[in-house]
Amino acid sequence: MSKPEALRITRLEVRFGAVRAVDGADLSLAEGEVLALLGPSGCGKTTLLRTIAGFEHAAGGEVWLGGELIESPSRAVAPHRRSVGLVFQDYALFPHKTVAQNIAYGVPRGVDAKARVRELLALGGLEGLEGRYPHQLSGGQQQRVAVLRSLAPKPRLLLLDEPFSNLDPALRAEMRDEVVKLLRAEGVTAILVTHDRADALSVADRVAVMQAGRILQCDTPEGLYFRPQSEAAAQFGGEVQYLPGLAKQDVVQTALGLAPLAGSEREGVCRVLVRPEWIVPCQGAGEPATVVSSRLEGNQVRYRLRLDSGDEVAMLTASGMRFADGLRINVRVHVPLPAFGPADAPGS
Amino acid sequence: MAVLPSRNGLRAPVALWLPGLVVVAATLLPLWYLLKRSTERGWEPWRETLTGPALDLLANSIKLSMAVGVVCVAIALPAAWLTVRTDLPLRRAWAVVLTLPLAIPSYVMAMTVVAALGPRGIVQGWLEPLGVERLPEIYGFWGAALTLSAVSFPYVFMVLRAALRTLDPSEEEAARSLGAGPFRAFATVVAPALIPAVAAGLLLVVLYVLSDFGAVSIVRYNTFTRVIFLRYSSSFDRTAAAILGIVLAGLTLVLLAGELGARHWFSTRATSRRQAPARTVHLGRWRWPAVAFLSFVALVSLVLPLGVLTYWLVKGIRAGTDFPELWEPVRHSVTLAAGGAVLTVVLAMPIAILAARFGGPLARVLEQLAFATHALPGLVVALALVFFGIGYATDLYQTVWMLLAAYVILFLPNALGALRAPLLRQSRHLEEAASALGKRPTTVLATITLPLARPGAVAALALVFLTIMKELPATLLLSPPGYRTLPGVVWGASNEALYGSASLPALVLVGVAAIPIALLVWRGELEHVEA
Repeated sequence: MSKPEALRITRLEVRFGAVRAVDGADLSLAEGEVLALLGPSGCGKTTLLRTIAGFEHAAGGEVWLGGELIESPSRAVAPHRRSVGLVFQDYALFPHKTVAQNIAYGVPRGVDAKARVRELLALGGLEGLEGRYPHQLSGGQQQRVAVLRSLAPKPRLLLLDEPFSNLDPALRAEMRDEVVKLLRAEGVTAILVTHDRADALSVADRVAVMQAGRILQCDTPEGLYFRPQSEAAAQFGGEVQYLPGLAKQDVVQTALGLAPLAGSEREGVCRVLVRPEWIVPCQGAGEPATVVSSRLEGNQVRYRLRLDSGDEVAMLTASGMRFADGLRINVRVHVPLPAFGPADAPGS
Repeated sequence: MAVLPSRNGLRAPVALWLPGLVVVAATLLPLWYLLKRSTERGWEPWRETLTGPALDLLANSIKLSMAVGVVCVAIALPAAWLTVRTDLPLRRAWAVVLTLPLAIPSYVMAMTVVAALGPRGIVQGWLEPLGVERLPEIYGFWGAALTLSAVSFPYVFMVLRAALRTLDPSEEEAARSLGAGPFRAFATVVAPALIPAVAAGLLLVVLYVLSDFGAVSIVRYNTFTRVIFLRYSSSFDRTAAAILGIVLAGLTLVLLAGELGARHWFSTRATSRRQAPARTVHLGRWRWPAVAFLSFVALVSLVLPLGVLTYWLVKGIRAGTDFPELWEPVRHSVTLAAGGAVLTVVLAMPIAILAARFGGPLARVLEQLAFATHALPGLVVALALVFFGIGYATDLYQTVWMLLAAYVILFLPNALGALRAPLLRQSRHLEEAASALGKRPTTVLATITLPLARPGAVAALALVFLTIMKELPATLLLSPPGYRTLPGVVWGASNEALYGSASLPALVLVGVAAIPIALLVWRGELEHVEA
């Protein structure tokens, strides 16, 4: 049983002059789902978000919100009639209004604004700050006010544009968890735009990977990490390295031995994705390799290994043990491996 | 973050662009009419007007504006640096003192310069016992240059102070860390970064000098502007005045294009900088020469005019001089300045909001057209309105409404400049945020945009009030017959060399004009205002 669809985007195109910022994007969200939109700077993710909110306009394609067409080349519902909340990267808090006034701003008539503000302040842990002005708040507090303000009118969909990018790294993970807790508590459907892999993979139900104006893959975090559908999508899920391989039905032979294939069956020569942390040292069974060099990276150790095939690969292991340079060890992979045809290689 | 076009994603409400369009069209109408008036009799009057002496006048105007520009930069650059970056004693007070000459109209300055330094002037009176028979000639070029430098250097001073403050000190620090000494760092890093601000300030002064009419008339230096006025007031056929006005407007528009370029360059260089306080330079034993330099500037630009006016006042009171009745002109001038300021700021508001908060091609065109009038001398605008009034608006001609219209046309750009800065400082997403929270465009305008515009509006009101108080040519040409204003009274008395009786109204005028400056300085807002 699946939940009702909250948002559907089909073949959306947004142009700025000759530039196609969004170029045929497809996306759909279920009610209550939190989706991360992951992509590099300039890939069109912010433009996609602003088009859903009604601040940019479609040159092609459609955006449906809860069964209502809100954006197409021939129809554009005004932003204030969409019930789509937007949290800006710079928060855009009203500088002349207090925390309470900011949050109460969007509460519709007929709703007890004071009660709603009290409820949200409690939810965000901001009791006692309601009389402050935005410039009297810390970055993390401003961020929470921005999210609470957007939640106040109970939007059908909440969009968050790089909400954590202005926070320092120590605060970032904490705020991320807290904001997602808020979203879940309100049960709101949300899209979170980010260029940070950890943001996307750790908090979202699904991750949509965007590049050059298109959605490459929209999948669960596990799906994106373990079963990327293209080399381009693979690099958003984590660190990538490739080995040549030979596939036969559901297995693939590489210099690291025979491994099950992730995804569909294939035949013949291919490029096989082996993330460095998928390689593990083992006793006995496995392929022999020589340690070329190693480096401690805090909570992990990064090795360069030379396989007997002549291929060099990177391996990540937990810190604690350390193989000396020149040591002969045995290694194997412990997950099914995704493989791509030569035609999928970047640049071809 | 993706690269987005720098505009707001909302459609500008009709409540903004319709008034904006009407205001800009209305400000351009009289100028279009001046152009029409100057060409309706063919090219023959153009040839008669523009041969021979007219070109000499143009050369005089250009020569004077260049000289004043150079002197202003030579005063303002060290003064701005001393008051922003060094441990000069009382530097905040110096900043105020060097801004205050803005309250002194150029014609008042000119009167006092002539009285102090002219033949049989005060200074010569002091020196006579020492055997000095003659002082250098004060009438003509040198008197005009001295007078106009003394009243217009504060504009450059303000622009440069603002530029020095927003300059990122880390660039200078980087130069120092790469082995450059303090002098080389200043010459290779700081000075080049100031060039756009210097250019902007210079152009401001050049435009001011080209349009000045009061001071050059008093020191009898024949510039373009002075001759336009003489032609206008001495003949029945005013085509020649219209033609000269068009030429002057054309010259200033060329300069405006340069100013726009400088402004653009300036803004691309100075935005999104780290606003860290720069290291204070210790003057050491150089502090006393610095104080001496600033004291000299203050002496000429502030102590001299106020001292001379006070001297006359005292002398006049002792001699039982008949001072003109002042209550009526003060009331008229304050009413005009207050009314004109409110009108100008209200009319500038839609354009400023469109340009600073919405953007887009229409807003850009409106703003540029509104700024185009910045370059137009008050005399030219006044002439245009005279012709327009006689031709099309006889009901309005010779009423205060016509005068108010001239003020709006002249000072709309000043109001825009002051309104823009605080509007630009806020996140451009605020209206979008309000809109995403379900508010209609008019509600967004009333609850978000207009409150944001309030601080700018206060600065704009003060600035326009001050400028209208001092304004002379439009006030002279367009005041209804028998309508006495403070500038009119001062001008009338000085024309008849009745300096004694001019002293009281002049002091009152400077006093009233100083009030908005005090307000702006006190609020610390003068630095953000593009004069």
